[in-house]
Amino acid sequence: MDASMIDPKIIVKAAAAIGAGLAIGLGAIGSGIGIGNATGKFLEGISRQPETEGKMRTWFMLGAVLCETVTLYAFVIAIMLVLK
Amino acid sequence: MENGTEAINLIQTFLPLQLPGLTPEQSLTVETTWFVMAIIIAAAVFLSATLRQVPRGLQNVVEMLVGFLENFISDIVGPRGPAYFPLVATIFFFILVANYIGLIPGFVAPTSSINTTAACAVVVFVFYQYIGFKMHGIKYLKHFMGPIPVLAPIFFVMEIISQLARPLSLSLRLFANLTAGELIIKILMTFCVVGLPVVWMCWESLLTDWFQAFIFSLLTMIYLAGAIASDHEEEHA
Repeated sequence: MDASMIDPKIIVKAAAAIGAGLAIGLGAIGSGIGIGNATGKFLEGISRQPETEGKMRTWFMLGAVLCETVTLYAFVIAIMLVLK
Repeated sequence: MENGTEAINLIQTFLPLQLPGLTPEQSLTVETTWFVMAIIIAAAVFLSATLRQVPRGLQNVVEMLVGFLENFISDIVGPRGPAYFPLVATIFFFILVANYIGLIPGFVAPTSSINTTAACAVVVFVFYQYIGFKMHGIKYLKHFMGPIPVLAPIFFVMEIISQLARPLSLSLRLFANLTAGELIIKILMTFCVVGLPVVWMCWESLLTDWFQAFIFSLLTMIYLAGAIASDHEEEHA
């Protein structure tokens, strides 16, 4: 089949699907590493000074959530690409 | 979905209402939001009518949550915190009930629509900026200028962008978490209608739902704390 016979819309859809997969997959790497680091340091901190756990937990949650936000942006981009 | 596992919407079955100017999904969201409001108001009326000296049942749970939030807000915002407790607690309970209602088969969580979460985020954004201006007057803008006077214009632009990113990330976080949860339930439903989705629902109810409500109110408190304390720090410096 001649390449020019393929409907360009299909190519765009296929590219959007690949792009969506790449967006969410690559986007998740960063926040995975980030949350992992944050959890590790949090556990390190509370095992050294167990009495600070209450205060540290709040800031740990905040940090984890801010890491997560980046992936959520990627998720939104992925949805926009899939619904294209 | 296409392959016959289309969800039944309990709300639309009992209240077949198409609100003018909205798509069917949007009007479903609005109706579910009314339902959530009805639950919260009914619980509040019922609980305040049957207050006991020694709490029992639901009163125990709600007292625990309210006490926890109250401690938390004075921890983070400081002595001025309890004045803003009503807003934070309202947002917390609304999002909590709205998230959990999505787990009941036949309901769609209103927070899985960007409109609901954006409304909450805009309320928070406008409120804390208003509080900032009310507390410090025009001096509040100084907070945006950064520490070095020469670089103030650059800092100002950057600060404005980061301030505007706050409601965006606040609404997207809640929306994306809930939408992802619902999408996964739908995908699991295509594999197996019975059993498998319940496993994910348990996971979601244990982790996502209360945590997102908590995070939304935590960030509200932190933004409020920033708006209130901005001038205070400069006085000390």
